[in-house]
Amino acid sequence: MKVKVIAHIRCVAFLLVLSILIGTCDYFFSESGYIRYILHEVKETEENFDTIVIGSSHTRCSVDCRYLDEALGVNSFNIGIPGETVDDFYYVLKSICKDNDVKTVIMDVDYYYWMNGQSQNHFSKSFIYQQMNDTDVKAEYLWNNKDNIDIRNVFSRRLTWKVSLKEAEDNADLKNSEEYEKYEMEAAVEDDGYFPTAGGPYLGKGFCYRYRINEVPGNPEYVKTMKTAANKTIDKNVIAQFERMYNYCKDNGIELIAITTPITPDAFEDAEVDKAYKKIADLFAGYGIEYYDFNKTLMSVLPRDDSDYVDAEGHMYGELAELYSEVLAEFLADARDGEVDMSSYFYPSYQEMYKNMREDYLLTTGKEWKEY
Amino acid sequence: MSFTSFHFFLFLIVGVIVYYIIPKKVQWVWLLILSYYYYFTYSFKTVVLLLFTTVVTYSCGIALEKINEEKPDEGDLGEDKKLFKKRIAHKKKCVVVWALVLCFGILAGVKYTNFAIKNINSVIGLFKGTGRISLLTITLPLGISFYTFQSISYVIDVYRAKVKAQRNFFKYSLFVTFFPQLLQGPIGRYDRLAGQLYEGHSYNLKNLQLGAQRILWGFFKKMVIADRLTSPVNKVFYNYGNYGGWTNVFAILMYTVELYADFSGGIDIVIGVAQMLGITLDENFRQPYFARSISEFWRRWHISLGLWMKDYVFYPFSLSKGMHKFGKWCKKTFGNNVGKLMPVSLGNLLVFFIVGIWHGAAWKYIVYGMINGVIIAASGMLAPVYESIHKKLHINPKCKWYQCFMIVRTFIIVNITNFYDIAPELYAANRMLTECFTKAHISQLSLSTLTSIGLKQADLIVVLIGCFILFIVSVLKERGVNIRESVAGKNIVIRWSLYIGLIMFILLYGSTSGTTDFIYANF
Repeated sequence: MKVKVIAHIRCVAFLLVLSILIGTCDYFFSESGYIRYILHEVKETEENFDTIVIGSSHTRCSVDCRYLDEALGVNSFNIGIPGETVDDFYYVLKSICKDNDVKTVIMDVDYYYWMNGQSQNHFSKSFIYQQMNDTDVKAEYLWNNKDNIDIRNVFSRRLTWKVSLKEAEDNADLKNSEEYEKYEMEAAVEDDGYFPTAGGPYLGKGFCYRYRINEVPGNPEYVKTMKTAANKTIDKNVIAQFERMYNYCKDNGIELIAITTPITPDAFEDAEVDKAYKKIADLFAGYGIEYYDFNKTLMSVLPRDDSDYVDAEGHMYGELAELYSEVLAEFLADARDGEVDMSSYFYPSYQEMYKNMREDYLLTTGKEWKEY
Repeated sequence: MSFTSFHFFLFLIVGVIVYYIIPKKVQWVWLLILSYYYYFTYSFKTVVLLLFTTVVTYSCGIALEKINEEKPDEGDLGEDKKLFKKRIAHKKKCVVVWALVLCFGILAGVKYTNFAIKNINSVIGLFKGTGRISLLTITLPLGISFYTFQSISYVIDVYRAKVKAQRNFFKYSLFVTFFPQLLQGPIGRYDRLAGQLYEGHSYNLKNLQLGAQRILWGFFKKMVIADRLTSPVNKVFYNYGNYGGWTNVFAILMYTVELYADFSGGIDIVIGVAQMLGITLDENFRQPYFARSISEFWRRWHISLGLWMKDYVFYPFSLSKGMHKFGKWCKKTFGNNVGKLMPVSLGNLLVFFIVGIWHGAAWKYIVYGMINGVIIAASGMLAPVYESIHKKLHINPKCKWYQCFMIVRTFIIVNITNFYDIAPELYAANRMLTECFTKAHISQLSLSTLTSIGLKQADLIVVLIGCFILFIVSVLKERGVNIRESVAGKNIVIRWSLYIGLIMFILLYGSTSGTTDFIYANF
């Protein structure tokens, strides 16, 4: 009997030693970045954010919430995170709602995530989950993703480990810093305020202003991938994930508005992305959700050509983002007041847009149209 | 529910805890529930086919048992008894044939229908016909090859009166569906497995520890070695037109390592899980790359399939009346040696034809099987020739260097046959194999060849370390060292260091590319 008890105590001790080792690895190897700070910023302040803009990388660099605040008289926050999937939307929103009385969610729809389903692989899909602090939300995430989440990412932050001495040294320095302790964004940016992974400074409220780096957007080959995605049907799993968020909003009296941030116009046309958005519009119509695709915005309202984007995929530069945020804010204010005249904002159809956009751009700006 | 998923971890923890809490006599019921739950998480629809196979083989087992119990009337004379025996034998054969037709019919239906359609369409095309048969959309039920073979072995064992039929349908269902082995084997035998499943087991910490240890070893093989090689291997084989020469050689070597690490790693996990439940499954590998001949390789690789083929195909075929007559005829016509070897060789060809199509519905798999069959048949036929060569050249086949030569020779042949396993089609396999020689260039013998196919230097180092560990363990096992027992017997510092070292190695250097499916789970 005594031998048996000792054997069991040894097992527990073994697991304890293992946990300590894994915790140590997490401390030294696990990178800490944008998500940790942005989640903290939206949750742990005394302010109440009543409007949340949720989306992925396109959203982070395109919606400056200060314009929304001014036009709509709200206190909004952009929680666009690169790689954030429709599945993540629900958990991120739920986590935010625990600390904020959210009235409106503006969901930025990037077709790529809707047509392709889970865009990350089995191993990397839990990158947002790993940075969350709410135990109940994490538990729900774990349960709902039990088939996809890799066991290594459940008991460690293996996903974010960078295994090298240099990395361990940098991480130790960072994790000992005051900014890190206080969850300040300064911990993630360089001394001059430049946020490397965003390609520009962080201007607050979740918005990153991208600096211009090229005259024409990069990665033109990506258009092929875009076209393949655009011609797919909407992923069934994504619809189920969206429905979960839709129900959550409905149950909690949160208004859900769907928008799409405009992407590189020529790439949009060449990749036939309109096909995807037509399907998405039909889906939202079935749920009675207002959906506005700002790819169709009149050139006279939002003049833009391919050179306003970093890449063919459609990450916009800061100048266009400011302009777009202003248009978006004005439009949403008009829509809320019931005064919106769709024809004064949007082309009547994608075909009309393709036909007229270059000429309208020239007429509005006097500049030559630049292609990717 | 992948073995690497959180779901499987939860499933196993809950499964094991409940298993040891409940009374022993109902433990098998819990295992049955777990097994069906496990299968449901993969596919709800295809469970119908699993049930069908279970019902068919269960009923055939019962029918055979009833026939086995039939006795001649007491007053029957010798002639009547003979007639009775004949009638009984005929009845039993009919039942087995029904089981074979129905179970293999289902297997053939889901696995080989589209293959047949494609070939029919090709023939139509040859004769410039215009009609084409459309391919069917068929979901291949996971593990169908494994559970079909396992169920059929039960029916044949009852037919041979080697085992008694199981009268409890649910108990029999557990034998067919026992979750650890359901998807990738090993193919269990009723006489060795069923008793363990039904008898109930007491909680035993050592079983849990040894089981966990084996699972860990499986994860090491799978995550550190196999998953790291998947991407570069696929890159070469699915873009074979862009590569050739030494790149092809590197790719096939990587595949050979990947396949072993993946399959044997999966089996380690399966055996470890079963051990946690107090159940000992048959081993499926015995250091296959140390085999000295292809026939020995197949006795060390996927052992449960090899034994199945031997017991249910090879012997019944080679010892059949027809083969006996054929052997006699060969003996008369070609002499003693050929007369003895012909039935055996034909048996081997048949076995490896089946092994080939068992691997998949494609001509490349048939060629894969047949190459193995022909090599084994030929080496049997040529044994006297080898012997005389050894004598003439004064080679002692038992000396170390010759043994090493035989191991290397076999390893090379295994690699050559593996082209037909991994290449996307028969043409690709032939072309890649040819281009190993025709496109070879000295410049390809560099690290940049590997980096060009996506195997970074860091990956290569990890794989080499992994292979080195695997090699050392294999050598020790080959020398008869029971590594697990010997590790368990070491003092706590060494033991813990080894275990924790292995876990940390998996965590630090396990692939994160996202590949988690086991190659043999699709069979």
